Amino acid sequence: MIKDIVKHAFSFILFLLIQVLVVNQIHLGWVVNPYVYIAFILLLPIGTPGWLLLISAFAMGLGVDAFSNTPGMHAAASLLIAFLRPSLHRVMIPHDTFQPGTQPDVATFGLAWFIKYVVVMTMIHHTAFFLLEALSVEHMGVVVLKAFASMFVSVLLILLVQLFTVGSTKRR
Amino acid sequence: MQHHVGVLFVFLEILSLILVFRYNPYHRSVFVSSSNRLSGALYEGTHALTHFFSLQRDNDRLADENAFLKSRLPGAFQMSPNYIRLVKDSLTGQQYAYHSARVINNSVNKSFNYLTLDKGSIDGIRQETAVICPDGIVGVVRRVSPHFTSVISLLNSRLKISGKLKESGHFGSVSWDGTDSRYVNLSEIPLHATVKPGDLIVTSGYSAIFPEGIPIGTVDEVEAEEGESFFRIRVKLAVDFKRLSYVEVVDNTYRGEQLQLEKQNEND
Repeated sequence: MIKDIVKHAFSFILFLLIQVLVVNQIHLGWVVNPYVYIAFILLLPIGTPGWLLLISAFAMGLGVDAFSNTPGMHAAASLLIAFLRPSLHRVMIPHDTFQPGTQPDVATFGLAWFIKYVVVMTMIHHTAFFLLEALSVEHMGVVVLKAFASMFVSVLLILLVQLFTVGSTKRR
Repeated sequence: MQHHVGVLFVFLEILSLILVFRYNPYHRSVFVSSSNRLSGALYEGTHALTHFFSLQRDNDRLADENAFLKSRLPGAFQMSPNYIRLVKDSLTGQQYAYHSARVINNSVNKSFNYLTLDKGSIDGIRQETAVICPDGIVGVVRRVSPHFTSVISLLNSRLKISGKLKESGHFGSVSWDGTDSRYVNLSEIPLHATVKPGDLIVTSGYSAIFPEGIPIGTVDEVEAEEGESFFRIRVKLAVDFKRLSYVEVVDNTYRGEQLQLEKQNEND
């Protein structure tokens, strides 16, 4: 139990740092703004209580906001995917393999399932975030373009991070 | 149980949206701002590392600037009237005070971009002062903490700056449309003005923040839409925002006096 808390606290800090110190500093043109930190929310164990998901996502969102001068925007988008996560799990995970406590990752459900899962969650998060960012700018076409372009890069980066972690669990 | 989670979600979501919509460029919660202590210290640490890789380029630029400054010493040669005058000295003293600072965080690809500088109120930096670099204007100081400064970049749709055509003196407002980090738009230039690509755009000096005549950029495209009384002008920025590393904060020491005088007009 305590081991799990330490592990997820570590993953929280790791994803926050990857986001603000590495991904935020890569300039891929004004259209592509990937957000990798949401992998933290996606990878919390299946069956994590709803309130804990929401609090963790809120803290993560505020953390990223503090470093990106976007007060509340990341927090709002992260809360949305944290809230939808349990319902999505109920739809996407077959009942016979639904085991609380396991991580919803490549190692548990395979690559195809994981890609589907990440794409759906990233799409929701990015659409919400870029809509919120644009409310005061009036560029709807740009929002859609940004959401889709950034989504592809985010998904790729999250898969890349997963490949590293899968490799390390196998070695263990 | 499901019910309670729903309530918590709505509560936290409203909290976040309040943060988003309560936003105001000049009064923002101290908590969420990159000039706050923790993020400032973290960015300074990482900058110390990445700074090393741009040393060569920075040295070249500093050398260039040194040469430029030497060329402006009174003894160097006779001053040409075309020189951009940065400092207005008068008998009563200096109008503009300069502080140099290093950029420790910068973004160009968001809709609202900000920079963080490594100097703060301890070094004498105040809110609402201009930030420039040798190539031209960069932004306006928005928040100051004891050791760091958060600057609203020219690449931020919330910032509008008064600029003018250097040749003709017609002035308009310069703002960014949130897309390409190399271009901004100049609006409110009337159709009877003569504008052609390549014309220099400089600050007008009307805002009491920027000194007059600091380069903003050059005219890239001019369009005259039918039925409108103003040009649509696209301006190529003089500053490459992706390569900022040293900037200067310019403090107009007479700003308070000017604003106070102008404020009296509102009561007329």
